[in-house]
Amino acid sequence: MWAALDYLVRAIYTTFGSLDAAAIHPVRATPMVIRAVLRRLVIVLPLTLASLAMVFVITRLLPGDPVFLILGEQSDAAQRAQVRHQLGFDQSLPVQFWHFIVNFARGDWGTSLVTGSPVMDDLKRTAPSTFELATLSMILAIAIGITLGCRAAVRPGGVVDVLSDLFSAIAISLPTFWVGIVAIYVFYVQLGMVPPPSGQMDPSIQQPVFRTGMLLVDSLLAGKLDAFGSAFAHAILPVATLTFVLSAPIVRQTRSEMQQALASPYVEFAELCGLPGSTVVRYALRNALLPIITTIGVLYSITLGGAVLVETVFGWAGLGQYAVQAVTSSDYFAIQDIVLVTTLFSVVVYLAVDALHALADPRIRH
Amino acid sequence: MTLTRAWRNAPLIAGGLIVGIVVLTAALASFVAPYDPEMAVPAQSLLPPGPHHLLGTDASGMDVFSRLVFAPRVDLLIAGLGTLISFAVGVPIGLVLGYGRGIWSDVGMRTFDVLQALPFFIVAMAIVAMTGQNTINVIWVVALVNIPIYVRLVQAQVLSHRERQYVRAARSIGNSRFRILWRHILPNVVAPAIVQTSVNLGWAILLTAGLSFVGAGVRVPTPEWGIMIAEGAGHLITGQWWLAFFAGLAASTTVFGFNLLGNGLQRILQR
Amino acid sequence: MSSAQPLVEVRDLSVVFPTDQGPVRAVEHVTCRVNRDEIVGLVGETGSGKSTLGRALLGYVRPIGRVTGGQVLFEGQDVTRMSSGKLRRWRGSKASIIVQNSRSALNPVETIGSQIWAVHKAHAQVLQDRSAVVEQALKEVRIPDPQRVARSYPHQLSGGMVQRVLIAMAIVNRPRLLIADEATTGLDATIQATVLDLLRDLVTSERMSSVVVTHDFGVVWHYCSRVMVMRGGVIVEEGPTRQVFENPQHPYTVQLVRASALGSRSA
Repeated sequence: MWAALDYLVRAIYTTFGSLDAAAIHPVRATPMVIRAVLRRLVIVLPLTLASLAMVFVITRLLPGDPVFLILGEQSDAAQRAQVRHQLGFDQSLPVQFWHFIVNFARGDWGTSLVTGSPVMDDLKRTAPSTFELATLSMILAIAIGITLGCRAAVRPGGVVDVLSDLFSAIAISLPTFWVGIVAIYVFYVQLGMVPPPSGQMDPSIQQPVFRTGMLLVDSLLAGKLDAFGSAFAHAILPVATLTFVLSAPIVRQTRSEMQQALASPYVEFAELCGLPGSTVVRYALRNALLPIITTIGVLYSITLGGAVLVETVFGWAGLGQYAVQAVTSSDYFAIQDIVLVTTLFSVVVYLAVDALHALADPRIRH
Repeated sequence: MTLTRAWRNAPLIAGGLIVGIVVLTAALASFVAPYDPEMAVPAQSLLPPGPHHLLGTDASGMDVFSRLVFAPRVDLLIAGLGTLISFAVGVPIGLVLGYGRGIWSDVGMRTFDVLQALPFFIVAMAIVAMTGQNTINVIWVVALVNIPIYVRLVQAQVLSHRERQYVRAARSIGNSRFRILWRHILPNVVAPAIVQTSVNLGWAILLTAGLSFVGAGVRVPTPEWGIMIAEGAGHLITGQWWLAFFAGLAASTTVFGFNLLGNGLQRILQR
Repeated sequence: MSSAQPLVEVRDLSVVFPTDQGPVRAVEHVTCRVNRDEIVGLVGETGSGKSTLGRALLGYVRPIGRVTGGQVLFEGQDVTRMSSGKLRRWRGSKASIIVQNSRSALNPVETIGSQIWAVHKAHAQVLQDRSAVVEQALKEVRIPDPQRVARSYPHQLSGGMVQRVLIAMAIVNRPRLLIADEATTGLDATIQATVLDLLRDLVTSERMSSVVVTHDFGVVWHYCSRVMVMRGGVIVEEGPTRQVFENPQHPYTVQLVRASALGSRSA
């Protein structure tokens, strides 16, 4: 079996893995672009399997009896044996794994012990809110981070440089949830500038019809401006907190990459040719952005973790809050599926960003 | 690495000072703390900072300052052990992957590339939920999450040194791979790994605090920064800010100290 | 040997670089000139200050250098005291430079065409048709299949081709002065000759002046009518090439001449 796996890996690799044009293989005629994207696509399937395996290991193989968690401490041996048989935990590992994969593919993701509804429904209900929060924050963090980092590198020693260096050095040391709490105290308790941190919207206002699950979008689609206003106001602090924390590493990396780019020979030559300053900066930025794109892919996993913390602090009814609830009440199936979904999503995002990088860099593309 | 050069290194001194103070506080907590950190005195609950309780008391009447002083013990222990384990596991893996050639080495590298994209916080929460909420498990989780960082760092270093002149020279006179790794490449790899360790210690503290905050880390009533912030969060709206604030300040300062230290170390060790 | 006003006149120029070991005097009280319609060689070894002097003719002393004295008068205007805006308009249009490591001098993520166009656009009074300008520039440097090359990226071209692209960028705005800073060092001998021939043809046909900065006396012999020998930041000898070569006065020049391939062949 290992030999078969070895053969499979080698086949995939020699077909798509090598960028070395000297190797002779039948797909050499395929343009590099297609190959770069295909290579990532091909990896999706084994990565999915690997993610499933990882979740399987975490939820079944680690020390700690899942049945114990499901039934609680008051259960007796007979009850546990029955549940164990019901869930198929008494079968051999490969068989269990097979059932696991099949159930996942079929969409049978188990029922939440807390909410009583199928986990998939719970996820559909909560995931969009987290997506809303995470995406808004990431976009803002990228915009702010790259702008500041660029400015800091172009004018070293200037106000922007010194302040952003200080800010980012401090910001990466702060616990995300603490930032949220301090923000609540300052802006709500003391200044009263924002609504109470108790969810995504004022409960007295009627929620819009569930279309995408994202309150800001749905209220706009339904034309309910009071709902939109309330959702917007409630979103300010959570988004600001997450943006604050995410922008710090982006600022630092942009500044560092831009500094490198500005010190490179092509920038010097561009100046010797008398190109305007804005063009020179643009030249440097286009080069500096490439490694930053890759970092943003990795940053996404940090965003998810940050979202969990921010949602807990602000009572934001998203996937993060659901995850915390699942973990603290040992909601077995919910935990399993949350890890699975977030892992798969992160992997897809990472691969997509990686492919984007390959497409954006002409040295890889041609 | 002369003493005078170290002396002019501001981040190193500042970072070292902060970390040193925190470690000392943790070690001498019993002497510094005026009260028992886990002694609940309900009659004295929710007192603001004052002469008897420097930083106030929490909902159970426990002295905030005392808890704050004992908290680094837990956080540093978890962060320290966890980072140590991930270093001990990650560095050898990185060495092997970086030096090996062939497809499996390549696959290994790409695997760890993708691993860094996993939602580590959620995975960490899940593992603690599955294995039980105690300090040992949190240590294992912290270790696990940090392994890919070391693997990638070391692997990148090995790759960059592998083709350099001195390594090729060593290879050509017939040194075994192991010997080359050990004597030539490892010393160059250790420096960035040490710098990374300082930074990782800071991250480990944030991870521990975060896990404890959501209830998937260390158990209550252990004095720990994340737990203290969680307890304090509920009282924020009623105006009792001191519970959550000082714990967060302490944690932030400690992590900042580790970051500065890493910065300072980088200046010395990497020229 | 024109007695008319020189194109560039360097008067008592000194350039200093601050380093960890203290200030380095790269150029010390140098006085020289570049006449119109001539190709001058500036020869010396690494560290002699020739590159610094070459770039000083553009008013460029690298981010950390400083002009501590003297002037560089280009058609009467002192480039060392020009405002940065005026200087930027000067470079690439009145005077331009070709550097040694050509591939790293080009932006790796932009096409050749867009980079040539950028140089034209930065200085042109009237913008012409983009593809016409680019194609014309590439044809002038004798690059075959200019349309394909214009669409290519620097890493896709050979070393000699990239060097020619640099020349194309340097002459697209018809400067008065073209500085070739070790432009062919590192290239194969045959390619070196081709590039230098091209350079010479362009310079003479467009009535430009050129300063060829090099450590190779052989290059000077074949392409420069006049030569300046530099050592330790000072010009130790100068004069018509043949004269300096056959009758070197300064001991250092003697060494240089002997060391060059020609020296071993001369009678």
